Amino acid sequence: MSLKILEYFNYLEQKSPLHFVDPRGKTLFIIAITCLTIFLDHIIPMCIILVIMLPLIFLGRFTKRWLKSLLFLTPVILLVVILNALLLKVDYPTTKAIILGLRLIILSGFFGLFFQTVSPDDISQALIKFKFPYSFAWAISTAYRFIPTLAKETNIIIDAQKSRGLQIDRGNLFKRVRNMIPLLIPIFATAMRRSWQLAEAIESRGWNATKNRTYLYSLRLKWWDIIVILLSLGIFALFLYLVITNAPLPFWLAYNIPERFELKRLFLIAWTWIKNLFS
Amino acid sequence: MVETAVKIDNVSFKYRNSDSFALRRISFEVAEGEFILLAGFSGSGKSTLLKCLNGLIPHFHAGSFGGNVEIFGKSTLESETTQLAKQVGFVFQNPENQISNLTVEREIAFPLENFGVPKNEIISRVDELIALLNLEEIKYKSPYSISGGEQQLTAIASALALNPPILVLDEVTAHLSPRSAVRILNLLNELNTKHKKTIIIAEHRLDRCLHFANKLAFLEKGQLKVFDDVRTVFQNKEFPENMLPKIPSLFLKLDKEIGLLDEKANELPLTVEELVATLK
Ligand SMILES: Nc1ncnc2c1ncn2[C@@H]1O[C@H](COP(=O)(O)OP(=O)(O)OP(=O)(O)O)[C@@H](O)[C@H]1O
Ligand SMILES: [Mg+2]
Repeated sequence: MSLKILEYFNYLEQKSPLHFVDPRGKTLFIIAITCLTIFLDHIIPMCIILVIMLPLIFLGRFTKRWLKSLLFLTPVILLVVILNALLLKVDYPTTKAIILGLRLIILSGFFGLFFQTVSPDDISQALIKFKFPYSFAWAISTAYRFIPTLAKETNIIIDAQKSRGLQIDRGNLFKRVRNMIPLLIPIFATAMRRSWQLAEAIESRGWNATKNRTYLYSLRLKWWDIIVILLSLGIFALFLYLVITNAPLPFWLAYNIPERFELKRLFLIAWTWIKNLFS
Repeated sequence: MVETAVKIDNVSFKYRNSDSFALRRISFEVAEGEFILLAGFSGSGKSTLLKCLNGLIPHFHAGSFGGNVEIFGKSTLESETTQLAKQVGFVFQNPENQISNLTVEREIAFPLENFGVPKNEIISRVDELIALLNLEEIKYKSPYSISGGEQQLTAIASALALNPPILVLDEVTAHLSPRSAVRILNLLNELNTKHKKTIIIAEHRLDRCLHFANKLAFLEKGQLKVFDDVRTVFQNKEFPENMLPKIPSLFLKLDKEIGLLDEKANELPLTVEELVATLK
């Protein structure tokens, strides 16, 4: 599968309301919703979560990218659902298969939303709040910041080596791997030089000058963050309650697709019908 | 009396993994408020010499270091590079490799944060620098979405954040378009004349900045060949002819052919305007 799907899970610099939610709140929320989604085993509760997810995706200005990512995922999801519906050896296999599909859609949606609205800087600031050393948090956000530069540089090196006759995408696997060496050496060398120069530059501007570093920006919980955190704790509590008591859901939530609509049965009917048609 | 900002006394340096000296017995002094140009061919040791000024050599780069560098009377051997940041602001050649924050504003705040300056003071200092360098439009932009010239201005602003009296710049215009280069050099002139910064800069575009420099140092193979007033330095035989900036070289040629120098020996013109005025 193409790595292009990863593009839909990148941070995007924009000013949606969800960008202003504290990353700690968002992390808590994603953990709680993931637990619940993995645990829940019925179609209707899953659909409810899906319906709740839609306005959040809209709020995060994720709609277009989410739909595009779905387009990528649809074949995979369809395959998973059909195979499971035909092959699962449980009660109500079609129901279980649809739940699996819904789970994939929900989790990819929430994680996409999470990565799009949590900047690397948010992550490093959250680490600082959790008392990680500043140098560690700095390394995380700097590594992220240099990804575009390294990508650009790698392309330049590839072009340069190609123009000198290096064939990268020809030959058998062994040959291709061997052809990578003339790329890896300059890539590694420039990355090394870059990190030395960066080290000089921060050293020259008072790196680690005092133990009591101050911050121009630091995370502070606002009222809406408190709401997000309480909500996440609520979802998590619900998850724990369901796990511990193993309580059955009320009948209107526990709907299963009836036997006569089982995919396997429908397939068989269609199959005999076609067979009759030709005989 | 003018104080001595930088005193370089018999400095030699050899990088650990190299077998020849990058600097050989270099001595000179820079008075407070001076604008010093450092010239020399590639590999002559310009960057190495500049790195001695804020202690990157010998603290950051391992090697054999001899002699002494004093910044306002204090040896760089006695303080770490980190602490010298308050005395010497340093700007490097490649803008991409010296910016490490996610926005211009935060790049400028970075040294202040490192020194534990209170938040409200950081805010006002950053705004001051942004106004001084006209960076209002890119204040919240990512360093990757701005031009090389703007990146270099950001790096200069960051180097100025702690308000160091000395500013050291290593070929900061090398990656820039002529237009951005001129903008930066003019800014440096303003910092020098209006804000009394002592400026030491390695620079190839001599034509663009000779007229606001006080002295020119010429390095060759790690040795200081010439160190003199910009008005007289080009008459020195040690200065290589192929490095002469356009206007002085034109004047010297005219002088050779027609003989103008006798009465105007101390007023070597450095710009077109000066040349015209002298010839009149
Ligand atoms: N980190 C290093 N390790 C070993 N040798 C070095 C290192 N940096 C520079 N040198 C060597 O020291 C000498 C002086 O280099 P330096 O970078 O100071 O020259 P420069 O005048 O700044 O040149 P350029 O105009 O190319 O920047 C060169 O011979 C170079 O190869
Ligand atoms: Mg250099």
